[in-house]
Order: sequence, then C-alpha cells, then structure tokens
Amino acid sequence: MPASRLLPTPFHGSEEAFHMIAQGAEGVVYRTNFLSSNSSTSPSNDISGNAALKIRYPKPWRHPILDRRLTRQRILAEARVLVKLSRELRAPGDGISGAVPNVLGMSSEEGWLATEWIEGATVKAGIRGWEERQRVLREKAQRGDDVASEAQLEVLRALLRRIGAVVGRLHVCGIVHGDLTTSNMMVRACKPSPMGKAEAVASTSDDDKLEGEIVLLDFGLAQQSIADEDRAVDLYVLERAFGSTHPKVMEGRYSGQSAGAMFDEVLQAYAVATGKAGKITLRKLEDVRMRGRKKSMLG
Amino acid sequence: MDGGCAAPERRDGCQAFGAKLENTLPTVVKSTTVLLYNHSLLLMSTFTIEAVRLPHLQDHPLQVGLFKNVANAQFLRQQLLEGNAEYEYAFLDATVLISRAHVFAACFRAINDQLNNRLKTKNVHSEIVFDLSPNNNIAESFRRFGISDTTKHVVAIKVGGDAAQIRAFLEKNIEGEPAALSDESLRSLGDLARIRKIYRLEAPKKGQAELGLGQGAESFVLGSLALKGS
Repeated sequence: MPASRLLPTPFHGSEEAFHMIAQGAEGVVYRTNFLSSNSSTSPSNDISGNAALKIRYPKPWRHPILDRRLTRQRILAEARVLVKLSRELRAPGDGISGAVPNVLGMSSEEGWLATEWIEGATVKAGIRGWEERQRVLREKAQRGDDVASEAQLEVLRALLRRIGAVVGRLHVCGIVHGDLTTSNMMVRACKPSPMGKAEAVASTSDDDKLEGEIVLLDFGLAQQSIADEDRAVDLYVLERAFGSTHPKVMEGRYSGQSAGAMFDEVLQAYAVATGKAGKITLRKLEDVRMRGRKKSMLG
Repeated sequence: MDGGCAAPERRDGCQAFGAKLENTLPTVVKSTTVLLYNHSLLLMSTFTIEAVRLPHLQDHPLQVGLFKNVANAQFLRQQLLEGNAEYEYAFLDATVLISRAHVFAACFRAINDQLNNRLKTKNVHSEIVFDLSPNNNIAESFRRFGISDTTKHVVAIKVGGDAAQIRAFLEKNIEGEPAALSDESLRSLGDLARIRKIYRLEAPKKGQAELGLGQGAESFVLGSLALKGS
C-alpha cells in the first residue's frame, strides 16, 4: 500500500511500504521498515517490515490545542512504559529478549511511535489453532466429547502459566496493562541467537508455536500503578476477555474440569511470580469478580 | 606507485564481512577507494565509506565512515570550534557507540527534528551528536559523544551533499585508518565502562565475567534516546 497522504512527517511521501496491521479508535498500526531495511517477510502474506509504527492521527472534532496535548501525552505515556519495561521486565539473569517490543523511535508532537516488529502469532491465534487441532484429532478418533489428551493439555497449560508469569512480572515492575486480552499478547516465533540477532526458528510441529516467549503488546492504556485494585482489575479484564475469546477452554471442556480450572493455571503462575503482594491481589480479584470492573462510587 | 604493493583487495561485503552483516545493512552503496595516509609511508588500502539511506528519509542520504587511530583529532575539533563550514560533519567518538542502530537512531531523530524545524543545536550534524546523549545538556553531549583532542576512533557522518566530494574530503582530511562501520567493529572498539556510565546501564557484578552489554542494553538505550526531551 502506498503511503497515505495523511501520514505525518517524515513518513509522508516515504518510499517505504506501509502495511496496515490494525486500526483502533485511537490509532493505526502499520508494519514498515525503521532504521534499517533489514527485515524478514511473513511467509503467509508476503508482508515485510522490521518495525510496528503506531500513528495517532489528529482528531478533527477536537480543539486543535487539546488534540495535540492528548496525543502527545498518550504517545509519551506508552513509550515511557515500554522503555521502563525494556529494562525491568526481563527476569534477572535469564538473558531472554524483552517481553515487550523495544522502542525504536518516537515523536510525540507528530503522534507516532515505532517499535520492534515481533515475529510470531497472537496468543489468540495460537489457542484457536490448538483448538482446531483438537477438533481434527477428535474427528479422526470419532469421539463425541471435547476432552483432549494429557500431552495436548499440558502444552496449553504451559502457555497459560507463561502468561500468568509475565503478567505477574509486569505488575511487580509497577505497571498495569489496562487492556490484557489474548490479542494483545504474542508468542514470539524467534529465539535470540548468540549473535544477538533474531533468527527464525523453523517450527517442526504446530505445538511449537505455543512454546515461544510471551510478548505483551499495546500499552496504550497502561498505567504506572502498584494498587491492588488496578492489578486485580487487570487480571479480571484478562479473565473476562479469555472467557469470551476462548469459551471452551474457559469452561474446561477440553480437560473435563470445572469452569475456570484452566484459567487457574494463569493465576497460580501469577501468584508464584508476584509472591506476597500477589496473594492480596488475588483476594482482591474475588471482590472485583463480584462487582465488575468499575468500582462503585457509592459507599 | 609502489610496485611491491598488491592491487587493492576488493571488499565485496559478502565475502569480507559475511552475509549476516550484509543483511543488517540498510540500502548501502559501497565504494572501494584507495587512500593515502601516514605521511612518510605510502600505503595502499581499501576502505568503505557507505552511503546509507535510512527508511523514510530517502531524500536525506547519509555518508558514513569509521576511522581508527585518528592522528589529527585535535585539528578536526579545532575546525568545529571555529565553525569552519567545510568541516560541518558529525564527528563521533566511536568508543561510546553501541551499534549501527544506535548511530542511526540519532541520525533519524536529528533529521526528523530538522524537518519539523525544532533543532536544539546549530545544525543537523551537531544535532546528531546531541541526540546520542541521554540528557539535554548540549555541552556535555559534545564532550561525551563528539570529538575531543584525545579521541582515537572517529565516526564521521554527513547528511546530504555530494557523495564523491564527501568521500574525497574525508580521505584527505582525516588522518586515520578507515574501516567499515559495522556492529562488530563498534563492539570491538567500545568502551563498555564508559557506555554503562553514560547510559546508566547495569554493570556486571564483581567476579562475574564481562559478557558485553547484552541484548537489553541496546533496546534500553534506543528507548532512552527516543524519550529524551519529552
């Protein structure tokens, strides 16, 4: 797609390709090259680019001064959180690459933020793929129920535990994400090579696709907060999003367990990652479940 | 010419530096040039001053070169202090640079700020030096990242201009050994203690092996530079 005329400087008139990846109420995300032209191409759709460029376009219905100020604040807030996490989120000594995309560039005045492109699939796509494989297996075996094999369940459980651990580490860093959904998480398809450059790892089986490192995306609603309330709401939002995106997993149809048992893997790993503070958060989560996300303004 | 000297060895990037490095380069035009240096000794050498086109800044090509063991740093600095327009280059101290991405992130920001008319320093070249610094102190940024009388290894950058002229000028006026600007060459020259101090990176604990800066360092540094001034 050629650069749209709406793009801010210096992207306006750029010869690089911009591929629109997502469009939300606040911004548009493109895949493009940034700082270097070295980039891999997605095998499925022939799209290339080594960076994700998020642009917050001016909103013509807002007063221009207010519009500039809001755009500026929001881009800055997101970039600050990402940079803070780029240093603090890596678990001490484990040498993993970041669990958030690195910030490559930003201009709050023009309203854009460029981050590293993460190769891989969203957790949502990963779990959907897993569910699809269970369906195929079941049809082959001509079984009526949904129950998956223990080995298959363990693949899914391991994924859920890694999600819980990364959300826990995020909260320990003093950040709440604000919009935890399975579409805002990715399973990285790359492993860092000794040279420090990402090399695509050829997946031998589909289950490998669920075994990469979890990367959190879209910190547009993130806040610096250490309040149990905010942390509990973060978990609650994830729980609800998970329930509506992957209802069969949530209901325990694959494991034959009671509803919510699979999600407990997330919460248990969260508790391990957060320690004492996590216990209080999980207790708070019970309250939030009772009343919903919005704290009552009465009493 | 010196008959005993072999014909310049052509450094096709793929052979000399390996295909891996080649992949990491932005659109690059390489020129192989013969250089004279070291007044008494007549040496034939090959080197590469790159023309780099940063994505989205196709109208602002960069000429980039690395010079090792520079003998006339004091002279170059003097030209900058005197505001000699011929020497309007970004001369960087190579020992505090982490990687090509580090250098290019500063270049991108400097050119972008120029396009948006908000340079904080005199011109786009001084702005590149300033943009490498994690804080807003201009004098300090020049001291840390610019050329000083004792600087040994220099990265020279020019934004725009005529490529052939720039190449000839750098060959003539920098008394040093030209080398390719690569992540590997910067890593071998890097003064890790100084880089850690400037960017407040974690140092390895006592007794632990020095393992280089690690993957996290570059991402944090690029992020800090992007956030600077806001």
